[in-house]
This record gives sequence, C-alpha cells and structure tokens, in this order.
Amino acid sequence: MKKIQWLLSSVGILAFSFLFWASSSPKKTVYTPAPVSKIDLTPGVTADAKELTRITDDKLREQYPQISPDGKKMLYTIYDPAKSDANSRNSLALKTLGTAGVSPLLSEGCANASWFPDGKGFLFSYTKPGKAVIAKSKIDQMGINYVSANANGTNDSYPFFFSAQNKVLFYTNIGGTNHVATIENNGLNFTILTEGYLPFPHPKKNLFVFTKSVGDVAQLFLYDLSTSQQTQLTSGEFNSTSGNISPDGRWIVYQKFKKNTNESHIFVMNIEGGEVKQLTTGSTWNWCPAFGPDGYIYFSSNAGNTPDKRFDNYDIWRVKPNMGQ
Amino acid sequence: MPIFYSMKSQQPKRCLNAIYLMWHVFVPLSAGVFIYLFCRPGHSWFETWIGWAPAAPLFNLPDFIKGSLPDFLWCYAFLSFQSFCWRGWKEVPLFFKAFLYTSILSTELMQYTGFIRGTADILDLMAYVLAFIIHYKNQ
Repeated sequence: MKKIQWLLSSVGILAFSFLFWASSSPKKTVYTPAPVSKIDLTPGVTADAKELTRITDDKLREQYPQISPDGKKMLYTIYDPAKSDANSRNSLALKTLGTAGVSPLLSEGCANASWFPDGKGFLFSYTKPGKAVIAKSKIDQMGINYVSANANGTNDSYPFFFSAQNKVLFYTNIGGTNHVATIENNGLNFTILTEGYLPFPHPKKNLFVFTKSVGDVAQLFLYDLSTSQQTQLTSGEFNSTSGNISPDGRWIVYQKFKKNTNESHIFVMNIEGGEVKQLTTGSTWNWCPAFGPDGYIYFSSNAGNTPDKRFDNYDIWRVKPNMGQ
Repeated sequence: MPIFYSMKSQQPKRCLNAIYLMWHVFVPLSAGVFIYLFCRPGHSWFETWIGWAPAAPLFNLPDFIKGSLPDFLWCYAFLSFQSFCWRGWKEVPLFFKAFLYTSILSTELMQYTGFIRGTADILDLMAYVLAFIIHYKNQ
C-alpha cells in the first residue's frame, strides 16, 4: 500500500510539473541586435505590392504623411531632435506631389496634421503651449486657430475630421491612460469614447479604427458607434497599430512590429480584419501609413539610410498594394 | 478530513473519494486552465498544441487575478491530490511535506534566476502560501 501511495504521489508530482511547464510560453527568440555593419536598409516590397518610390529625401525625420482629398498635396510632420525645447521639435510641411520643392507650413510645435474634406484646411496637434491642444489652419493662410482653447487631457493628439459625426476625432491622455474622444468643431462637448489611441475615422460610416493594448501587445480595433460594438481586428504577439482606412472604406493599412526589434512593416487588410497582406519587407522600420486617393499607400521609413544613421533619417515613401477584387 | 475508508460500506467511500477528487482536484485544476487559456494574453504551449488561441481574452480580469489565481488553484489541486494519495494530509510523511512546500516555492526562485521559463512574481509566492494555508485548514 505504501508503494502505491508513493507511486501515485510521484505520478501527481510529474503531472503537475508537466502542467506547470506547459503553461509557459514556447521558447522565445532572444533578440540579439545585429551588428551595425550587418544591417541592410535596402528598401523592399513583397509580391503583394509594387512601385515602391521615395517621395522625400531630406536628412530629417519625416513622418505622418496625409494626402489631400484631391491627391495632389501631402502634409507631413518633420521632427528635429536637435531642438532643445521638446515642445518645439515638430513642424509641418506641405509638398506638392510630383514636384521637387517643399513648403514649410507651421514651425515649432505643430504635428500630426490631417486634412479637412474641402482640402483647404487642416487639423493638427499644437504642442507649443506645453499641454498639446487641437488646432486648425488653412493652406493659404498663416496663423493657428485653436479648436479647443484648453487641453482636454495631457496630450491632445492625432486629430481627424469625423464626417459621420461632423466632429473632430482624436486621442488624449487622461489619468495616465490614453482615450479616444471627440469634440465639436468649436471645441465644445468633449466626449470620451473608449480607451485607446491613434484613431482614424471611416470616410463615410459612423465607425473608426483605433489601437488598444491587449496585455502588453497593441492591437487594432474597430468601433462602430451606431451599435456601440468594438471588434478586435488583429491578434498575436506582434504589435499592430496606426490603422488607416482607405477612401472607399474597404481596407485598412497599418504598421506591425515585434517589441524590441528594429523591423516594422506595412500591412493591409480588409475592413473585417481578413485578407491580410504584408507590403514591405527587409530590415527597415516602416510606420505611420496612410492611404492616398490615388491608390498608393504613403508611409515613413528609414529605408535607404546607412546603418549607423538608421534612427536619424526617415523619409516618406509610397507603395501601391495589389488589392485584387 | 475526508473519509477515505469506512469499515461499514465501500459505496460511501467511493462516492466520497470521487466527490473529493472532483471538488478539490479536478475543479480547481480546470478553473486554472480555463483562466490561463481564455483570460490571459500571450501564447503558451497549450495553444501551440491545440493550434488555437483566443483572439482576445474572454474576460477582462485584473492583472493580479489573471496572473496569480491559476497558480493558487493548481497549487491547491496538487496538494489535495497528495492528500488523496496518502489518505489525508496528516498521513503524508513530514519530510515529504517539507519537500512539497519547498519545491513549489522554489519554482519562483528558479524563474527569478532564469533556470526555468517564467516571470518571478511576489504575488505568485503569496498565492502559493495562501493555497498552503487554505489546503491545511480544509484538512
């Protein structure tokens, strides 16, 4: 009887040890940074994309491209880390596509611009006051007009015009947590919609895509305000963020990367989260993608740099995805 | 203390054994597996074997519950199984009790030193100690 007890007890120890081991994760690849000399920043695309083209080529960090509704102009943010005042490091520039020149628009503390539907004005985040606020301006006018005179949270950012609600959709930080919110065009009626960040509205419907952390991984969600239903579009151990909906409302382009790596790539999927396709490839960091009305996807990338400068210079590139039907 | 053997009848003994195993071993074990699979993000060998993982946690539990409750449940189930094997916790040899307590607590130390996979967490240690206490009181 004693022997049976010892045997059963040992089997129990083995079984629970196995259970304990099985609840651990598969062996994770230990990330060892590649020697600088071995990093290849040659730009590349997959078979699901074509016509990869560099749009800007300055020795600056250019990011957050947004194409005008007529497809002729591009607004983007330039980040200058050399400026001592952190609130002044961002500035906005305007480029007419197909031409060589760039027009500085607003300097010092203006970032993340997006177009109004008329293509004449734009929204942006104004960081110079210390706490970022939502502001607007016009292409053919100088000056900054505040949408909201006071900050709604500690970092009012990433504003977009939300056609379905005729409001401004943005995100801000409240109590240490990012929240997606809306305000009226006159800055009134600040309404928090959900926890999350980096929202982008559907061009026609009353819904938007945004990013939210699931555990310690960022995932994309779709929030339909007409049903108050949130749908998780992505999953897994890769971070998926910076979702941007196509002008026809059928596709979402986004950035996907694994934590603690030097690679980030552009992906596209349909609005339900299916038909996922990777567009860029290689050892480059590609991020903040945006659809243009011309069928191209514009994004920021460190492709084409020398390995030792891979974090210093980001240019705007564009690529055309093979969407199929 | 659960009655494992009775001189009067075998039937009640078998029922009690089955009831004890179900409530003190199977249910906590299953609950721990359920929480691990459906309420936690990330990927474990479970999901790899069954080739499926939930797209999102089914329930949004506080982090300390998600992380430590399964450990508490499994520890309790493990000690209950040992009680069942030995016909009661008091029958377990003293040195073996010490071995069980020590080896359970040492898993956290081994995770901290990197000897085994996992994240060492003081909450997990507290969960194990709580399981020891509740199991001992139940005996």
